[in-house]
Amino acid sequence: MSALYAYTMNTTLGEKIRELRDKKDMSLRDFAKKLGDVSAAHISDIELGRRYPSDSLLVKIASLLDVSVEELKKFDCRAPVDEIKRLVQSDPAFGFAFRTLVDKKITPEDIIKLGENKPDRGKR
Amino acid sequence: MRSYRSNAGPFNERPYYTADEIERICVDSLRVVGLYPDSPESIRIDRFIEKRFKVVPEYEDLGPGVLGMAKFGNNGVQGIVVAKSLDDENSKTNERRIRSTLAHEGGHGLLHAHLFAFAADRLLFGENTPSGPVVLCRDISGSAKSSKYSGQWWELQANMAIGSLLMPRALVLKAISKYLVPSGQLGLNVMSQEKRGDAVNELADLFDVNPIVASIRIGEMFPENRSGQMSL
Repeated sequence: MSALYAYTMNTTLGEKIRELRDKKDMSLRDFAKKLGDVSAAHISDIELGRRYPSDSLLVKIASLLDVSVEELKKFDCRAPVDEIKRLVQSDPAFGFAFRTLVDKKITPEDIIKLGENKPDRGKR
Repeated sequence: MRSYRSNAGPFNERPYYTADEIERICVDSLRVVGLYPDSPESIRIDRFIEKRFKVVPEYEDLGPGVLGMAKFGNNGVQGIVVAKSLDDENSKTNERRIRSTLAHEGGHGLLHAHLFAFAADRLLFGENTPSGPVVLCRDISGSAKSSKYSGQWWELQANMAIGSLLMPRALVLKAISKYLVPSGQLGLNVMSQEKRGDAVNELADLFDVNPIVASIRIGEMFPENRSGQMSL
């Protein structure tokens, strides 16, 4: 397992945002003020992993922290539950495949390794 | 700092700090994290909390009358929480109240964390000792007049830290030097009664605190009833 992979897997989006904010020596309240229409309480919840930012807020956060949205999204470890549901409903083979993942106790590392060798969906 | 055994209150030890000791602890702590300014200006208290205690301030519904709380564990401060209601209402007064609350909780962190270091071995709150982190709260009744002593010495000490963290003595003296006049044979500086209001307003603006906080700080540094006694 690469060090970068381990870091990404062990760091939440909130922790990453806090780390980048710390590097810029911005307090949480300063950060919220600079983001505009968002409360310090909301940012605190995001950093503590109690909620996730909307796409539009994530764009603002990324811009203020001088990173790309894609870079931040690497730390969003939520499972895309809705998309998985849609896939299973549209093709039963996906259901079988997911069941196999669970039964065979396939590790997240194996799945990511498999994914890295495939082109992004939608770009085929 | 001296410590006394205590049979009353939640702790079996009672630390006693002089005002000078609290001032020194607060100023040193600000310096250590690089947040003690060169000239009088608003102290970045929220950043201080983050850098000194390595916690992100949380905002939660704390119930009526409670402005903030500090959570302690065996390793010191585990969290600092501010009443969400203060953050909801976007006003200068509330913004400054948040600053005071953070300073108060920071005061607990600086002055009282050691009392929780062996919490696992002690029954801090009698039968009501919580299993998780232990908390100290700041409520409205204790926030208005910080100098009033109601038996809760830990709250009084944390209130004293508000002044030292948000308005360090040396910076206050620089800021209000024009309001001071030498008095008596020793030439000790006193503040005249008629200039107090102006000094309070200037300090409140400069250090971004509510006037009541500035007033208490000036009252601590230049007690009103002493100005007449300085004439030797």
